[in-house]
Amino acid sequence: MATVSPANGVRVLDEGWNLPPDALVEILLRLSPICRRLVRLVCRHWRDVIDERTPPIPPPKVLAFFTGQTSASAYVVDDLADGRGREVWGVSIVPGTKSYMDITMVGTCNGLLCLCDNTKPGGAVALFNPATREKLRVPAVPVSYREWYGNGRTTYTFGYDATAGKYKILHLPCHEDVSGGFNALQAFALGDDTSWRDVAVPGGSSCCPGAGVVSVRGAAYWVTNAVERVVCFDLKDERVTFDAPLPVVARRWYQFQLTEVHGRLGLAVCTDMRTSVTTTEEVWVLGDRQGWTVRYRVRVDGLEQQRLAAPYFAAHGGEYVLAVRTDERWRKQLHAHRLREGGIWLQRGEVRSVRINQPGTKVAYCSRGTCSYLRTFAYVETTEPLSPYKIHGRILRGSTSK
Amino acid sequence: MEVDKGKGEAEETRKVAEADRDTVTLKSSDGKLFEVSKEAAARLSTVLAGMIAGGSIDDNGTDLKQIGSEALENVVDYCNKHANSIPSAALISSSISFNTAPFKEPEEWERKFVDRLSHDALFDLVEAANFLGMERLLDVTCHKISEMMKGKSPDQIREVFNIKNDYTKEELEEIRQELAWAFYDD
Repeated sequence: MATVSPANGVRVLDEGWNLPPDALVEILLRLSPICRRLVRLVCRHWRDVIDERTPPIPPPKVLAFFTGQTSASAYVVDDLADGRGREVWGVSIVPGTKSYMDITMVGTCNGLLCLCDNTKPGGAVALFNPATREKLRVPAVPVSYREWYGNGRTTYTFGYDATAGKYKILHLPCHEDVSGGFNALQAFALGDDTSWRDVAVPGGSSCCPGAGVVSVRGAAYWVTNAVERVVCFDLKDERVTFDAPLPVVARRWYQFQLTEVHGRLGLAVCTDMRTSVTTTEEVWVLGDRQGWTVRYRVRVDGLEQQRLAAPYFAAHGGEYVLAVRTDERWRKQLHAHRLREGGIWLQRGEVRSVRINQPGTKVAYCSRGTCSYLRTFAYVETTEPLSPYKIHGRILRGSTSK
Repeated sequence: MEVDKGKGEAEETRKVAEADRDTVTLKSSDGKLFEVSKEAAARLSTVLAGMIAGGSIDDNGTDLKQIGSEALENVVDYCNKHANSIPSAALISSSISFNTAPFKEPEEWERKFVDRLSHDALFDLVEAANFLGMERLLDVTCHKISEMMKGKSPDQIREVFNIKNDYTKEELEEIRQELAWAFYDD
């Protein structure tokens, strides 16, 4: 990219912006990598300063989230090759108390973790930045949605609208499926909203929480209750933009899981869950024009029962495939499998065949006793503060003025 | 600073008094005089520290031709407040002891200090802090400006900071594409 940078000390004459270049660098360094990428759109000068004087965005790391009845923890894998990593967050139940836990990860955006405590009515959502240890509680959904408990399956999703630079959390009132579907979902925009807003969706909408609710590139996706279609909800315009039939017709014992594949919506389909020796999973990717295409075909052979991790399974640009292993005591572990041809971009129409017949590198395991649920996410560490989003904080006033 | 004592003359007495004073006088571009704690000025500004150490402080007001009176007033206000503020390092370290953040978060009084500034005053203060080599004040003011950007779209940022969009429509579209890939494709 050809860029011409003004020499240090030269003022760039934007009418309202006449700060020394060093100050601009200082300011831009304080923004999160995502935010910094976004403000490249402001003007050429900013783009040049960002490209030349601020660090590039590091590739996302893998974050494994373990949910158990007595604990929950988030584990960041620093190195997929040797399995080096660290627990960045965790809670365990106090021994002797009879209560149980059910904390799931809604999703990650950048370095922000969105967690949900499903033991609270309707689920209690909170954001957490492991790098700064900052926490932010999100208000509870309206009372009418609080009767339903998630049972380990989150009906929230956490997404980022890059063009507006807004984080948004959505809540799908799936319990209303029983009574003929819902015609509104609940949205909460960080920094703008002080309570959840109802957003209209086509009447009779439904959701199958078991397939997951994922946010990819400014849109949230879920699968309908009858496991027939996938619905796309645009986070910026806050409306359902399309729904599309699933590439595979659902049958008994099939399992569907929404995933994220290189910035696109993916659907992992397992058609032979019941066979014990070999399992095959196909990952379909939803393209802009050509619809669904198979991009990964993963076959697991041998003794080790491993299943593709979700929603983030193709780490480091597809150099690794992540799989979850359940051991004999029903504990979950995350294994990384390096692909020989990994990192090479898939050609249009090409299907990457992956055969897993080795255990791979164990990259994360739950060190807090048993855990029955393991989900994987992309994680880009950031020191972006959550304080601007505090609802009763002073800072909110500034961010709401237009 | 060497001062010739013992003559008993009025002029000399005045000079002695000036040298022993714990404040310095600064003069803005428009000729207004401000007094600031010498200790705080030397501690917070590398440029003023150099001038004090080098004896180039003018008793009648050191000329700072690049800084207007409003910005200088804020600089002086900041230095004096800093001199009087109770160090809350203990408080800070107990709350964020888990991780050393690359930037130290502004303290409560510093937040208040920059929050009350108008847009122009804030920008002038960044320039003044930069000119005077006041790292901490630059930190606090830049932090404030970065917070003003968070959660805003590029359009809103241009509006708030009055920046001209010099991209063509095609360029913008291209960057938007790049943006999508940069985020989601490692």
